[in-house]
Amino acid sequence: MSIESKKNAITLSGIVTVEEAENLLELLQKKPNAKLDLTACTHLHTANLQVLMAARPAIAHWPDNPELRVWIENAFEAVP
Amino acid sequence: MNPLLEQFLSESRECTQGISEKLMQLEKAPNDQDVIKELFRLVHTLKGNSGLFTYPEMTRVLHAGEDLLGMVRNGGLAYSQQLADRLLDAMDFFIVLCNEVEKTEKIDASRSQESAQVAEALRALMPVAHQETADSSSHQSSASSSAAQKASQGFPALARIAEATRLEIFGRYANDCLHWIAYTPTRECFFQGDDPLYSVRQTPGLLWGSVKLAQPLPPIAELDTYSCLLQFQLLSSAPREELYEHFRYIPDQVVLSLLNPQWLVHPEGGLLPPAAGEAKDESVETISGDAAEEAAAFSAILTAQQQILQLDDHPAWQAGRIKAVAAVLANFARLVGDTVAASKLEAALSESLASRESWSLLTWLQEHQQALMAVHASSETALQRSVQSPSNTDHGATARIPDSSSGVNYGRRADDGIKFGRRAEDNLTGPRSLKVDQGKVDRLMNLIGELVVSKNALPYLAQRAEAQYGVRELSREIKGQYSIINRIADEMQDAIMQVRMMTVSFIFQRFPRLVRDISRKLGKEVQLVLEGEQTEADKNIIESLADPLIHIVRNSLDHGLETPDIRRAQGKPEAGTLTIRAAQEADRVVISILDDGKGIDPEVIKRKAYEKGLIDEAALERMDDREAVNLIFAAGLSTAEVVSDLSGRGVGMDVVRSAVEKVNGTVLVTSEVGKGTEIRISLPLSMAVTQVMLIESDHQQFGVPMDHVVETVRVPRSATRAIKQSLTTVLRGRVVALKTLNHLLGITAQPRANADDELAVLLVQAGGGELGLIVDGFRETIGVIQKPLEGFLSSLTVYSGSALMGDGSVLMILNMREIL
Repeated sequence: MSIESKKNAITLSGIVTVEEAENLLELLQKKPNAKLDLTACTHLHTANLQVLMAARPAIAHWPDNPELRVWIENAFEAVP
Repeated sequence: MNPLLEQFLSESRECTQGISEKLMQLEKAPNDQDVIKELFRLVHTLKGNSGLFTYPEMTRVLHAGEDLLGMVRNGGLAYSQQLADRLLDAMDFFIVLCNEVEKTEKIDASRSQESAQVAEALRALMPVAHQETADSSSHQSSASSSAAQKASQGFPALARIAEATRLEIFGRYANDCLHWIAYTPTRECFFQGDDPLYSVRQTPGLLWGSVKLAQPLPPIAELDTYSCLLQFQLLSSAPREELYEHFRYIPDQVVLSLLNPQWLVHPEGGLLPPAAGEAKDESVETISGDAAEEAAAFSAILTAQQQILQLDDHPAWQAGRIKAVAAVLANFARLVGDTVAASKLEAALSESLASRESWSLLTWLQEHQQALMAVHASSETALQRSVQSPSNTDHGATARIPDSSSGVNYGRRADDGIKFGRRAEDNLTGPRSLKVDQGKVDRLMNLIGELVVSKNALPYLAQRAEAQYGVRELSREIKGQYSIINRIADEMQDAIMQVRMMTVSFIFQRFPRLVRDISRKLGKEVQLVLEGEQTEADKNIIESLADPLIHIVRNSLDHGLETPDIRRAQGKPEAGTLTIRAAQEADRVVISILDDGKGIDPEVIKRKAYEKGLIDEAALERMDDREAVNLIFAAGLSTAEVVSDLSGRGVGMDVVRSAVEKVNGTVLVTSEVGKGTEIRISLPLSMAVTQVMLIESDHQQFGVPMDHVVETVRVPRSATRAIKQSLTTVLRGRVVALKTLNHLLGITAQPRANADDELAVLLVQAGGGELGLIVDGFRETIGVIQKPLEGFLSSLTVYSGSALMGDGSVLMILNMREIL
């Protein structure tokens, strides 16, 4: 499971596949104030990225992968 | 080639054939639901199969076809000529792809655009609500063309990139070719297994990328996770081909635009401002000591090449010298990564080689010398910079992607998972029919042929056992065994013939399409009737028939059938009827092609033949209408006034005849002016076993193919008359010329008559006439497997081949056409 949810923190790790997007959306709908830990995340399926863009959660830790971090930051900029 | 692919290709051919057939049927009955369903099923199968391989070009076209037919099936769209035309086009394209795959096992990336066009043409037929993709892509292409128009003004979209990033990219790629990629995934792309973000992260030569929203995202409570609303914009330094290859699965969602690197400096257009020039100078300045040395060496290399090219003598090795210089320059261009210059170099090289002058290479060198040095310098700098700051991330709204090749083993991981639902493998059923290579069947047939020959030796053995060794018991047993082996061998022969038998539908099936296309082209209305498609004949025979039949059908359509106006004027139905009929008659297959067109006028043919010198005046007078009409098979005769691309060049019908005669067939035409024409082709069922009649002459045995034997008669010597040098006799009121076989073969012996002084006359037919052949005696008729004469013997044209007899002796088969 590459999505883990503890109290008010959601941790994404490794590759987050398209099947998990629904799950991620539900979590973020239930816990709008959750903080995201993306440290160990290496790739997000586009569907997950879109969920993050819509929810705009607070990011506690950005991914260690610099490239992915750029993409996510970049994507967040695109949301007005 | 892997067997799966092989099977896919052969099945695809069958499928496309089926699709063409069904489309033809639909033409006649546009509302036949069964045919539409079948058509849909075929395209669907084909699409599914193509998905097994990585040929997105195929799948895309088939998918569009499937969608289109799905709509027709559900009544959302009516069948139309245009629909059939486009589907047929798409199938033709598909076959082209199949052929390409068969030859090279891959499809060239350049086909990708073509395939998108074909698919779009299909989708364009759908009602508007269903053409989202077509719409968006046409919109995009208009956008890209407007971008091209604005080329001189710049590329405003570049303003999205932070200035620092832009200038840095410019510093590195000032003399390169960059591509701007606008990628708009479809909304349903997640269901098709696409991960757009993954695709863009893997884009070759990615320099910069950004995410955009195609439309505002709904509030999180209403978000549809599986509907993609994102768009991507990318900047890449990779060559166009590589980008096409990367996006080959989704060319309709991607728009590539060529980018002038100068726009990076000034996105809104205009000339290169001095500031950017400074930036470039700065980067040149940062070259360290080593690099400066290298630059001097490079400059020396280029100067040396220039000096070589300027040499004014023209030695014999001029071409070699030019090639050598070009090779050095090409290596140089590759080293500094200037692909555009390299491609231009190739053109310059071929020009130089063609003219044997070095000036075009020289021009290239002068043009690119500065650029090559500059590129070299800037690539050095950029390399150093990227070493210093590998991940430079604070570029505001958008950012540069440091390295796109960081190890995301996404694809591999997806494969590692355990796969469930493989139940289909548990109950594997074997296919009912086998596909066997023809060579194997041929070998089997040859072996059976040998078995038949060697089994025929047994009766001789039995005879010897009795006559020579006097053991009658053994003789009888051998004969008993022989009859059993004989029966089995006969059955085997029959069975192998059955294997080689094919129905004529194999060649008939292509006629509906052929007739449709030709008649459309000629503006004629033609109704094609096919009869006896299940008639069978040997594979070789069927195959040899294919080309002649196409010739005949074309001729009938072009010359035979009239245009609707003329037909109406003559009181015939507007649509002409072309019937192709196959039937088995005894041991021959007869194929007739009938049309109800204007027929062949024997007088016209006779006159033409006389004008062309094919017949002399006497023949012109003597010839009856039936013979005259058959003159169309003579070489060099064409009655069409105008040579069209279909027929009328005077070749064709004689080719038909020679092709038919090659397999021991005959072709005959009968025609009635104003009513129509019938062409009858008669072919043996099988070529393997030839029926020959054994004859004896001067104590030697010869074989005469039964095809040529008309009858055998005994003629009393007194009934023959000599007219000048030739011998004749009167047979049932007809004068028949006689020739002795001995004489024809150069044997000096006289023919022997029987006790009643009667001569044995074999009445044969060859070359359009009948002739009596005087021989010594007749023997039985046998089936032999005829082998052609090889090596030195092949020049003996009086024999068409040889066959091995049961007693081991060789039987020579006479070639009647040559001998007479």
